Amino acid sequence: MDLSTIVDTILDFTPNPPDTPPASLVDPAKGDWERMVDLVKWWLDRMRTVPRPLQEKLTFFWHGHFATQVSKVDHAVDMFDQNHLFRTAGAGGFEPLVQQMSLQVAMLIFLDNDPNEKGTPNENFARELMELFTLGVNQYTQADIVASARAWTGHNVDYDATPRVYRFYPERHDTDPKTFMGETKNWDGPDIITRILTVEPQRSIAARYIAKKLWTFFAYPNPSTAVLDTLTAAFVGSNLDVHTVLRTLFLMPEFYSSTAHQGLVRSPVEWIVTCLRATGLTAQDTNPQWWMEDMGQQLFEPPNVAGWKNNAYWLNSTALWARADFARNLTWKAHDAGFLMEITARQPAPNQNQFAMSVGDAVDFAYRRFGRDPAVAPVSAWDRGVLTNWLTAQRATEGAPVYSWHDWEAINLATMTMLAPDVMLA
Amino acid sequence: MNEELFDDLALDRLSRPAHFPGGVSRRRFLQLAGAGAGAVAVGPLLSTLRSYAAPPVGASDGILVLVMMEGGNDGLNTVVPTGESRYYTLRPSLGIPAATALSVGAGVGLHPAMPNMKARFDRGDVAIVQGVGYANPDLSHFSSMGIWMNGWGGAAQSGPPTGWIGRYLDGLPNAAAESLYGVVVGTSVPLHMVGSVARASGLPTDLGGAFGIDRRDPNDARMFDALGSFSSGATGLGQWGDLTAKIEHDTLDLAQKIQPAYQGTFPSTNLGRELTLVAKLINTNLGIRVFNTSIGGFDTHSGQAGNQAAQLGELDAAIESFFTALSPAWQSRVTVMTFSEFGRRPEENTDAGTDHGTAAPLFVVGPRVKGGLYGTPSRTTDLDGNGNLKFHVDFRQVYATVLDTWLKADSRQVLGYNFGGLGLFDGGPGGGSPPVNRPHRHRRLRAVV
Repeated sequence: MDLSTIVDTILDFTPNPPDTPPASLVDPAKGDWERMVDLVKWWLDRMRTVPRPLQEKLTFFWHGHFATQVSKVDHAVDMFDQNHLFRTAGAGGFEPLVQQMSLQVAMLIFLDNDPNEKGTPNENFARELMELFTLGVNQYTQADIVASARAWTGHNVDYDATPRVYRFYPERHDTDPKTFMGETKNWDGPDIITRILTVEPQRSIAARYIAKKLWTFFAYPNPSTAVLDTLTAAFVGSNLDVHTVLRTLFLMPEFYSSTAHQGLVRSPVEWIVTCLRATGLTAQDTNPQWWMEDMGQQLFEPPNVAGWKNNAYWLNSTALWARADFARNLTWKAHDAGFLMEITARQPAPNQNQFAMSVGDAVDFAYRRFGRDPAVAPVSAWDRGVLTNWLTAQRATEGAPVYSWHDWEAINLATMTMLAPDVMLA
Repeated sequence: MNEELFDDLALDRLSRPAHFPGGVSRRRFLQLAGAGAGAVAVGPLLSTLRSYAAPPVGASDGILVLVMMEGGNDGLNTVVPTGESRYYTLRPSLGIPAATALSVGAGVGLHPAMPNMKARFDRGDVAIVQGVGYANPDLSHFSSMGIWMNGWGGAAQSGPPTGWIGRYLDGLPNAAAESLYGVVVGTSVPLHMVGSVARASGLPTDLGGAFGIDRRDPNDARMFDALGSFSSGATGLGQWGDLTAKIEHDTLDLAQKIQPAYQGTFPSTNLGRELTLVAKLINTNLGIRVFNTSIGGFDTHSGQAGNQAAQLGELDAAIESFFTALSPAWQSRVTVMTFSEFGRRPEENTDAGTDHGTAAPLFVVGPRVKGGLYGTPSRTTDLDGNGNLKFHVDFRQVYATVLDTWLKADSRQVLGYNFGGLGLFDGGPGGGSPPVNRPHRHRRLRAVV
């Protein structure tokens, strides 16, 4: 298969099952906290299992981009509605995505557009719509924010409906002329998005801003001007079609460079899913959410409206302890199912006192379980040496293999592989 | 702040590159900024960082504890201008009546959720600096917090891609290797705690049975040692692979050192727990000079009355429990300072909240602080062209005072400009010595490269 066929395949999400949410989401007997826990585990398990995981990775990208926190939104069902939008519309046009995202309960509440009314505009959503969601800082004036906030008046939440829904209240909407980006008229909220994303130069500014963020998420931070030019051209040329810019991105040689191979530390979510896939365990059974806050990444609870950062953000002692403790818990559960016990197998008689695998084979076996096959792409020679030296010493402490309990080798190699730099990098 | 934002912010700051001491290329800057402002850290510069350690804090050394109030705390309802009728006009529902404010002077009262702060103020241990801000205020959380964290005053909107505390730490002996000079309680290291060679360490609020602590089983000890030795050679995986290995090594090392501070009881609130942990870490004397703690929830666009009261109440109780947990031997060597990215609009909105604004007061608390009101309050009767409060004290003047008097640094080196002092202290750290005006030899700032 050539590269473009492969890229088209991974971008084809049709084999993925529908995202039927956990039953507790609409179970009146369950509280919102319980629903959220279920939703986090449900999403992690979906990331782990769908045949085309790029759809989930892209959903995760948009969650960090259009960040909302359940601690403010409060209702799990509103968080799911947003999650569903990112999943089903995240690879289509950027403008319709922003339009739909803006009129969902989660965002209306999170950025205070829910109480934004004529005469008393609330600027929170209007500001972040430009600063964080589309254009980046300094691409607009404070007057543009004020005008936009007025345009968004009346786009509120109907709390009398069950479940609560977005509703436009004409009597709360400011119909007076407003001057936005130099044009004076009776702007309405959705017009603002259309203006930003369909008229130059803002459309190209937004395209570059989003393209850079996508590249940073999938490849590495601080892409070259040339990379950004290519992505921006593809994005603008397709009228901001996300599928098109992603296809371009995955076909670029820079995406397969060593810079890209070494460009990102796996975020906690990416690393958790890697470990779950390797061990065959489920989020449902292992409760990763207990550790995710300390790792620095709780799903549905980004640190603020700007979403998560990357790389060095994940590398501090607090986060490392959380990863190590989770790895340890996962290890014990995996060991119950015999994970990596193959490395303790013996040779047939009369050599039953000899291990079947050399220490090198055993370490490579573990790497392969985590998607790092040294036969396909080299792993760190130094780190592999650390593991083989350790395994040599570990085997030596346990005497004749046929008589000893050798589970420590499989147990601790599982933890150590999860924490090996090769597996910690994306 | 995400990386995109910080890049944009970084480019802003680079608009006058001539002001960088020693100069820094845009490319290098972006490379450094690559991790995002909340967590700037870079491989090559950290490669000399060996282990989590710092020499002990001396008898006349000062320790600074920062409390970051995230979201933009409403200054007018924190230090209330009870004597201004205009304030009550602008805030018909949110205005705090003079009768319930806790008086700290004529026409000035603290939010009623801060009784402990009021008691401390009455004892002369709290400096309230009023009207703190900066020129041409930025109303974005991220840009404004970036400006506060960066703290560079050498030229407007320009400065090294480091934080003010980080640059102070850079000047301490062997800063590149002593990663316990600065500590952040929490999961990320914010920009102000990052220097060009120094970088603060992150400690968890709860250690639990943290990985690496219990070495009694030889199998575990062997595993810890092996994991720690990933960093003994080059991983060949680039800067992030090397840094991952290094942080794993340092974390295992650190577990052994900090374990005693996590024993005993803690308050139930987040900030209460953080500050009490800080007190216990100080008592343990691990050599930590500057701590950063944080409390969120101040972005009160709606429902401000209850929300801000809860947050200020948590802050008030947390500072009290901090000084309670702090050993008497350390009381005279510790100062607490609050800061927030901006205050809020003078007028309330119709959602019973307030939108992003400008100048606000901050608190400097400790037994060596010369209590009282400082600066000039921002008047609701004297607003700027955007209807926002005017600032009267540059925030870097507060930093300068803390740096020169309390941390015995040279604020001109750290801040790039001589802001002068506010005289917030009635003694240097430790025994009864008078204010110390003896800047230690600060290593020349090398900007970044």
